[in-house]
Amino acid sequence: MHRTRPLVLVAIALLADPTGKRWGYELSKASGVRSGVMYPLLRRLLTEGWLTDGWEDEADTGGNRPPRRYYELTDLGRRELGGLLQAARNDQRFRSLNPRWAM
Amino acid sequence: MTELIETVGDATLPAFLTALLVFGFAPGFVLRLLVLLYPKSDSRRPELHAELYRMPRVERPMWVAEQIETALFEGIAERRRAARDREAVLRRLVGYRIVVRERRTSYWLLGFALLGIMEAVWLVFNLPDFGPFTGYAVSSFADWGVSFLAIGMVFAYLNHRRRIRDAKADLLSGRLSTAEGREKWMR
Repeated sequence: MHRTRPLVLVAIALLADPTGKRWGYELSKASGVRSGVMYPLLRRLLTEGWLTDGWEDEADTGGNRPPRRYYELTDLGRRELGGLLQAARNDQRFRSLNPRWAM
Repeated sequence: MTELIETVGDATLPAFLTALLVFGFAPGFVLRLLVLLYPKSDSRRPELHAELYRMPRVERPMWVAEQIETALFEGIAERRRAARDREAVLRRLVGYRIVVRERRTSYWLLGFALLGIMEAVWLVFNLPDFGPFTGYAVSSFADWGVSFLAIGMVFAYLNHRRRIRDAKADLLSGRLSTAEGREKWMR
């Protein structure tokens, strides 16, 4: 997958909690990528098999709102995004993201 | 400079208030309309709707406005992909291109009808300039002719839509593989 700034930002946000369930809106907030770019990107990650998705339990919603769709990293996704971040660290284009590497 | 600011201010205030009204008071409704751009079975429809109710109210209007971009680019692309997939399945099912042929014909007819309507509108606004009487006579004659043609095209388009539905029904019921079905559609 082509290494772009939004992809790197999303990878950083996803790998901050590699085993957790993540929501689209929350990921958008954490990564700083606007939702118009985020959702197509999530679709591509799903197609590549780097993410899996599922729906929140009805019991967790309290019955007063619709269940949300969550995303989880697969083993392949953890490996690939980890590799992508390693490569991005040495890439001049992503130098400005340096403070985020520590996260 | 002050005049410029006032002009811009006057022009944008109603637009701003309309946007505030639409996105601020009815973000759920606007979002429901936007997600219609996605195919019916796409999980993005319920996903966006569910996300809306988990974010702070103050962020909802801007977030919904952002979804216009998402829905336009992702939704329409997905819709086209879904249409291509359906078409591929139909082709595999029947082995020939009845539905595709019918659909293309209907798009052509609709295109001609729209052109006809645009032509009629153009004639109404332009031809009277040629002269008080000739212009009026020519424009009303041409206007009637083109309008008649456009209405005919719309009817032809609707008829083709019906034929597409019939062809699909025949496909699914298996009538198309009978000799009678072939006679009906392959002529």
